[in-house]
Amino acid sequence: MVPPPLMYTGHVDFRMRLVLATLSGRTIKIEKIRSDDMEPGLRDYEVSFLRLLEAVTNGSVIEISYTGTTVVYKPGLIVNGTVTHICPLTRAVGYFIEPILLLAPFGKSALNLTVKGVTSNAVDLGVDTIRTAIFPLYNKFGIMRQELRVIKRGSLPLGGGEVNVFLPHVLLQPQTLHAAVSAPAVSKIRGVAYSTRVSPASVNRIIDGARSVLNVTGCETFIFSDVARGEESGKSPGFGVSLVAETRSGWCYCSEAVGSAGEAPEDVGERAARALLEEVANGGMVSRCQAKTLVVLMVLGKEDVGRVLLGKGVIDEGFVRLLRDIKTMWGTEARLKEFEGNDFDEDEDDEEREKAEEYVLSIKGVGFVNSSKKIA
Amino acid sequence: LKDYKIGRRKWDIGKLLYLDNITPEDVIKRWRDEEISNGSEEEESGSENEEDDDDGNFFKKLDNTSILSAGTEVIDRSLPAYDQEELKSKWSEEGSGLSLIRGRFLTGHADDDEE
Repeated sequence: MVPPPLMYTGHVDFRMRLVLATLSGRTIKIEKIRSDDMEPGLRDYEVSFLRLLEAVTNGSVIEISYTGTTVVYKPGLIVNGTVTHICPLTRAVGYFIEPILLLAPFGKSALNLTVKGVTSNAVDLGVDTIRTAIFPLYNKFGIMRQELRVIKRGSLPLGGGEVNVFLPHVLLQPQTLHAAVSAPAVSKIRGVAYSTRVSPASVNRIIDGARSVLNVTGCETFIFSDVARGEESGKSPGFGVSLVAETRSGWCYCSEAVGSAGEAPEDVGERAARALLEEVANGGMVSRCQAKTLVVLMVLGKEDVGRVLLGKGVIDEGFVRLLRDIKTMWGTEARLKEFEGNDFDEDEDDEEREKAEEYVLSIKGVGFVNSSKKIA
Repeated sequence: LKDYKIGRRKWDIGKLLYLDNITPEDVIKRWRDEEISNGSEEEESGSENEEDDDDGNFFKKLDNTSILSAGTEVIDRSLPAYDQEELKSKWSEEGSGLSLIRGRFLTGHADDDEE
């Protein structure tokens, strides 16, 4: 009676596949994980993520082959609770928090997660971005009251950061989204610039750099500075910035930059600012780093078609892979259609304003229900 | 520009999405390449290393992933990778980007003109 495990190959989308498996309750088997690599098998952060998954669920069975190139994951129930997780320094804590955010709302109780490690690096979502750009995205689906507290910041290479994530809101299923309207206008730009164990002046230099690029928008811009001192500044020197372009309708675009060795703070600010402009110019409702979360939450909705506008840049290989993985898990297909615009100002604006190429993604929810929550 | 766009043959992403004989990488390639060759503005960046012998390199890249800086998806990253040089020119004072964001930002205290 038990359906055979779903087979996947390679380590791409490792986290997402495990998350989807947990939500759908399907057993998955991932094979050939770096089997041709000099060091085959799972990396430390991937194993660490499996451990975390084990901690927030009850009854999960994880089997890792001797060489580490095959993983069988039989998901249990999401129970949440109070969990402390020490992350390897190879990835930032965002690597671990991001997928957990997708699971926690569908658990049995609130999740109080404390993670320790590197708080921002150049590849994973930084803690500020999660708080200022990812949480609002969840709000769109009726998932509220998330809290993220940065207790200590930790920069590469030694980390030493500590972050507390509190996700009290447990619900039956996310709301269906209807957002296939023109991309909203940005009403304000906010940001957080931080530094650890370097001169506090560098934070101001980051902000200056970012503002110099963002000036062209003429938009109200305010970037907070967060200079971590003493104990709260982790073990390594570093700085970075996270920017969010907020709209009145609650959607937001985000970008982030982390200083690499020898880089001037101004450049870091400029990099983040340009990336933010790029994300806004891309159009749609979300920026690139929010898109996958958005799609998964849409799929989990009740059996009703949700629609959202996406910029062309959001649709990449990973996005296609995600849609295909969703199809193998739930059998539901998404539709992508070019957005023709719905209005009036076409003619007047057209000469001066190039329209971003946008697509409407429509997905029918799978009628997911949180298995631990009683229907009242 | 508009008319020109309509006349062009395009891959429909909606159709490509679930063609299982085409890898996700190829889906995106076909869908975008079509447009690059037609000379529209593009923010794609994946052309650096796999241009030379297409297919051979293509598969190697997926397998050989010990190097952190390789492709975007390969290391399961969350933040997109940008081509910094390109962005720099695009968003400089006289860059091409500005026309793209015109009207997307509410300025000053002008509260409710747009929406």
